[in-house]
Amino acid sequence: MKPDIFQQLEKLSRHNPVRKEWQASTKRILVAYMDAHPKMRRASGISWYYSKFFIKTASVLAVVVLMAVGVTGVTLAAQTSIPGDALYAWKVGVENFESVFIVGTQSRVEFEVERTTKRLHEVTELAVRKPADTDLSHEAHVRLQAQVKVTAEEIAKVASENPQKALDAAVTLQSTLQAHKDILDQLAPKVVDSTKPQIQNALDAIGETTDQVEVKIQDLRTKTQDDIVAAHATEAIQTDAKAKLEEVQKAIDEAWDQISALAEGQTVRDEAEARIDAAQNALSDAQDAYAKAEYADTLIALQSSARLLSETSALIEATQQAGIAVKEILAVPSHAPSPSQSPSQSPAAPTKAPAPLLTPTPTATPVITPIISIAINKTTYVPTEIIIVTVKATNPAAEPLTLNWQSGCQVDAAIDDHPSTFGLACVAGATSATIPTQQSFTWVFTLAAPLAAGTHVMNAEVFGYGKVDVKFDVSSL
Amino acid sequence: MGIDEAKFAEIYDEFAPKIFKYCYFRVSSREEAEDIASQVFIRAWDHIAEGKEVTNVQGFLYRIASNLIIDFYRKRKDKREISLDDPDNPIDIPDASDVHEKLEQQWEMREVKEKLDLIPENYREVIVMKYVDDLSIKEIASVMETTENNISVRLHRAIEKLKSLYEA
Repeated sequence: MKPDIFQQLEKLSRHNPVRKEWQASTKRILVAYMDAHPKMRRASGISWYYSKFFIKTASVLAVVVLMAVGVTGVTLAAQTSIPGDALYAWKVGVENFESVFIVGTQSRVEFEVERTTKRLHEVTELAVRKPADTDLSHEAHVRLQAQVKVTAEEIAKVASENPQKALDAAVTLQSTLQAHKDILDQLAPKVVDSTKPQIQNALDAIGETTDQVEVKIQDLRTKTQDDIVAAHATEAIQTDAKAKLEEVQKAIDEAWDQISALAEGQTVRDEAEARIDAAQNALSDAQDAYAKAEYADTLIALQSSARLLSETSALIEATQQAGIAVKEILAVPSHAPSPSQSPSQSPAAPTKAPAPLLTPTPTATPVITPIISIAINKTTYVPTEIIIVTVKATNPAAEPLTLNWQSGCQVDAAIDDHPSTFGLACVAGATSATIPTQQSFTWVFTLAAPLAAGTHVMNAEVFGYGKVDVKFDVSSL
Repeated sequence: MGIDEAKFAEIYDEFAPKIFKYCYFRVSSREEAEDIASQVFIRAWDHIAEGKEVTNVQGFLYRIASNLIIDFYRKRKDKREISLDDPDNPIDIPDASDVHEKLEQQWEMREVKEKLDLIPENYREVIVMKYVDDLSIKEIASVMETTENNISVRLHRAIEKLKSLYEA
């Protein structure tokens, strides 16, 4: 053996890759865990049965102790965790603990809707952040479907005592499902090829549940509308209609305020604005009906408006609560395809390749040269942190520009030009793309930051049209 | 050895970086290594909390980590099955894509990691313990629950394997 292998091994032994944050947070969890699972002391007077009880109720007691010792930071940190993260079990433990204190069917249904929102958030985040882990994703999908089933059962319980409350809960649930479906739909064309199947699986998982919930909503709507019509002549319904008109108008005003937090031109914002407009129209119908003293119709129109507002609110909330990677990808503007461009020619997404497999060359020398640019989401990363790379080809000319490639592989990106970080953007059959005048074609890559601290270079090449690079720093651990 | 909560917290402070590093070089993913290393201490405390004696803390922790890593690979249905008990029948060299994936995550130590990734798991384990974790043959034998002779033989073969990769 060459002596340098021993030197390298020695270097490895000196290398300390442990993250201090991990070590500290794990210690906090461990201390709480030890408090919840005290060591058996034969003279302590605690019976064996009692000790076993402690062990069996581990997660609940862990949370009790956690709160008692004031380690709320861990709980807060756990709230953003997703399956596969160290704190995920903690997050679920907190939920289980909280559920013990939920009293009443209406509170229970709200709690379960909130819990469904968390499972949905996890499904969306996993699809983007851990696309390679299909087992985790599958588990998350199963967990989501099980949670939706539980929530639907709770809604059914509430329906017998308060159909309107049940309808509100079902609409909130459906709105949340729809919001995540919208987000995944928007992510789909912007993510790397290897991530696309996970996005589709997540969409399928959500799609199955939305169908079931929609049936429930229609049943509840029919029931509540029957009740409204049956009571149409009463004074109470007029008072109720008037109050709800004001309530919905106020909600619309709030929704406009809410969307101001979203970036201009973002697709999510456009979606939200469209829904608020529709809600405003439904409110106008309700106001007209109220003016004609048709109070039942007023309330029915208000149901539509309220549902649209619920969808808007859920969409904004889901976007704001998304993780950084999801937000960054959502913020990437979609390219404007030419009218003749088929959907399959949407911006390419990179797939990981073991080595530069091919060296595509353009089949025709372009007359107009696109401006190639590169951007990354940050200037400094910690080792292994995800870098989101955006490569753009902009058409500066006054006429459409068609880019041609020999294969569907259009762009690659790599860190320090090293093959092990190589990402290749390929779309089967997409050997050309037309960029409208003054517009851009965008590719988005996600690559892991290297472990070595210091300055690195992110290189990218649009095959046949130019290379670009940008520097970034990696901080030491 | 009587270990109470305070003592175990000290043990955690001392061994957490070592156990993490051991996991890190075995699974080659920071997230997975952190998860496994966290579980090691929870499992260890479960054992201690039941009143069971621990005579060799270091060996005990490494043994839990080793078992969790085996579980991890089994769960992941990794092709590189670990044959801890059969050093004479080393498993196949992992395929190129697996090595490639690991290289992405191990930029800084890529050269040596590349070689380590190409040797069988049971060989890599002893190399990591001996040269990265700086455990003695006796300590490795304790962790692996086998004889010192067996570990010496395995280590010798592991070095020979590594050497052949460097000379290739």
